[in-house]
Amino acid sequence: MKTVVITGADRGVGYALCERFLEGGWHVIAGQFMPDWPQLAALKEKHPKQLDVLPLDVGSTASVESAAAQTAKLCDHVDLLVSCAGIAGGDTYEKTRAIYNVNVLGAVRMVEHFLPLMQTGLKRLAFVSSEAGSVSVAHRDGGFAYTTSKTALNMLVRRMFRTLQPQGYTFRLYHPGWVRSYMSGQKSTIGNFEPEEAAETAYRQFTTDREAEDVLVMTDVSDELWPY
Amino acid sequence: MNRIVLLMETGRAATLEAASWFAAHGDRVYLGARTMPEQIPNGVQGLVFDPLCAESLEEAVKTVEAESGRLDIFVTGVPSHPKDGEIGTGHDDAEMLDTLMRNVYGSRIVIEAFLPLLRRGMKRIAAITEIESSNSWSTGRDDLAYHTSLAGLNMMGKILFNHLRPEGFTFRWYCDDGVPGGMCAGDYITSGLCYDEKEPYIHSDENRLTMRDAYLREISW
Repeated sequence: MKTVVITGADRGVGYALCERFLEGGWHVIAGQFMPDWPQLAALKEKHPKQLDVLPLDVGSTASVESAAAQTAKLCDHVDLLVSCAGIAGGDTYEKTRAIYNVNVLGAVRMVEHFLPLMQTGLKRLAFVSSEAGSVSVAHRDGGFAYTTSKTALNMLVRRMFRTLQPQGYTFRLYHPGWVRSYMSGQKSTIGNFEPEEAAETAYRQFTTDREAEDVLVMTDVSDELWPY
Repeated sequence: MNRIVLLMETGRAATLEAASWFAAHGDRVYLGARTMPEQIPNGVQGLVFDPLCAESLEEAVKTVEAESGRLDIFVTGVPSHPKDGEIGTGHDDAEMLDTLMRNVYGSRIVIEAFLPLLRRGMKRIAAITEIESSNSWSTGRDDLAYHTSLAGLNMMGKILFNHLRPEGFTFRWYCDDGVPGGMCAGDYITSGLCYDEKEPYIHSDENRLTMRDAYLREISW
């Protein structure tokens, strides 16, 4: 049974990915940021042996270290790491710092601390990004913190790819589309996709090998390519 | 020319050269940074302030307003360049976060603070950056903090462009990669982008944000 670690698993696309990977027969280690949010607990009752839920705040180095240590006790290696945790909303100093800390640094922390567990197996890293980080197609005239965080994330993934792809790692950079998600705290009532729809395509893309794994591409919920 | 120019960042040779270039063309030139090197180009005035300190930034704006009354050209860059290596070598998370905040958020805050003075001038915002800021073209692996912030600065420029272009602001994003010859940063930043006066204005590069190098080669974002 393959093992996947998913961050931001409490709700939205992260939770839907947990459901989909469980359905696909994977051992799922779900990073839980909000212990009071009931969905993961209910999912654990449904899949007691296949799902492990760990406390995980990707914005905290200590929390990520602890999650990596606990993961090492649960499995001998991790096949797939899915960095899904993300936040949005606000451009003040405090909001910008929080957004960078989760959306950019969160991915750095996770990869740094989980790489030792990924030396064997599938060796795949997946990142949920956004078209919002694509400079060439940016049409927005506001939302500095979120958009710049996603551009920075894409650069981060690009540089990780340059380092890790020659070591046998494969990458997925995914734009889930405009999802009716919880990115701003409450579940959005507007958007083009439900989290389950974004997760369905992501699952397929994350678990299917590609002919050209030596090129980093950003793909979306409709299997289209995006400049990043 | 007597333009009023403010260039940020003192660590990049091309920025200092651009400051000299403007001064040599008769412009009033400010070089802004948290700390000023002992030697700055002749004819260039150091403007020491901390972009992340509201009082310090406000004081800098007041100084330029009192001395010059307006600002014609603002040239941004990323001031902080820690050497934090490749992924898998361990990273100082706090330093990386501080770098992003200083280089991206800090750059935006300074531009926003000077916007009232820029609106009284020729309304030009520029950046001196490098090809490794391009998510599409970057080939490097190391210094994650610096390069993620370079990419973030590009997006910040695009958002500003979308917001300010309708007001008449123009933008120049110049890639300094140490290529000998070609157009220097000052030359590019002051260049006109309407190549043919007979052509409709909408055909010019003024209506889209491009990043170009010393030979005017367009660098993909």
